[in-house]
Amino acid sequence: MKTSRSVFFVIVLVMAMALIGSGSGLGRDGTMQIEGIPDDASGGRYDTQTGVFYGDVTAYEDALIRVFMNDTEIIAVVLEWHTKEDYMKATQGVTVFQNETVIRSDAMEYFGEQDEADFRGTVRVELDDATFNGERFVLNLETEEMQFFGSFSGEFRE
Amino acid sequence: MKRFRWMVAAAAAALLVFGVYIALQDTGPRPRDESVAGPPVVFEGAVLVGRREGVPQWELHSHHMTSEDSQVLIDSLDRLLLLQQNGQPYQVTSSRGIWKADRGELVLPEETIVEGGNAWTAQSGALQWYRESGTTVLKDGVEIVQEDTVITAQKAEFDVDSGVLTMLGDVNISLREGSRSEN
Repeated sequence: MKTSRSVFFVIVLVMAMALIGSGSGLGRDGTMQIEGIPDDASGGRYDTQTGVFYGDVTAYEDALIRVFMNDTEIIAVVLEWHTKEDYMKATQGVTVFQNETVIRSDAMEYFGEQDEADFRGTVRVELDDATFNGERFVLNLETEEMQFFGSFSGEFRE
Repeated sequence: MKRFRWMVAAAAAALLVFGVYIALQDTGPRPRDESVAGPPVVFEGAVLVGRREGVPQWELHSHHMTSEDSQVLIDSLDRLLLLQQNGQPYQVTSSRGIWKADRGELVLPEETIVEGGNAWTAQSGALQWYRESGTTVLKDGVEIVQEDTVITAQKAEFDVDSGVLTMLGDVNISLREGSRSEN
């Protein structure tokens, strides 16, 4: 049986959904795969001077950029990875899977030093028992601390 | 008298080597000289310079090349330097190569390693330079390593001046936790 109720609430600063320890600030191992690119087409470019990889698969219907960092998976269409700064920026159709949580947004920035992902634009956070829609959401990948900024509408399931 | 003969012979040999070098270094389009066809010509310790619109693009050092018709077979490749516009080179190592003068293509058909000044290397199954487009393509499997980052793809176009590699086809990147935060 599924019942739901909509809740609208304004969060002025931060709402912590989970607080488990503190971040290590060391960044993570990561792998990225760009799949579905035709053999002679470009799926991305790497600048050896800056250490920045830029991938863009918008031109290919079945192509995806997938990043795996421990228990987190990021799927995007356009992604910039600053390998030297441990910084990542994804835009267009961003989906992140973190354990049981799924986050969808227009854009995401990942800061390795803080091990934090900052989601902006139209943000949808799908938890086990609730879904929240808003404009900005920050997730600490190490501690799983969640922060909602601004207006969020929520739908709870029982 | 004997010494004089040796000097003349040495001067003639030097002129011959210089002439070969000059003939080879202009890789620009020119009418084919049918009279050149004949037995292969062997060069010991020669330098081949690839130019595009008069500007040197690469410099190939070899201690054994054979020129036959419109091709130069580089049997023993000492080193290839890919030249940036500012003259700074990327060093390339491989075992052999082929300069196809009529098509304006330099092919290194075996394992090739490009070394960048910014602590990176690109290893590929082969390398090809095209005079017409001015592009350098790393092919038959490419692995780029820079610090903790490893990028692999089937093929990549290398822009020598900017140091940017455009990966063709599917791409994989792995980044190990390490010195990133120290940079």
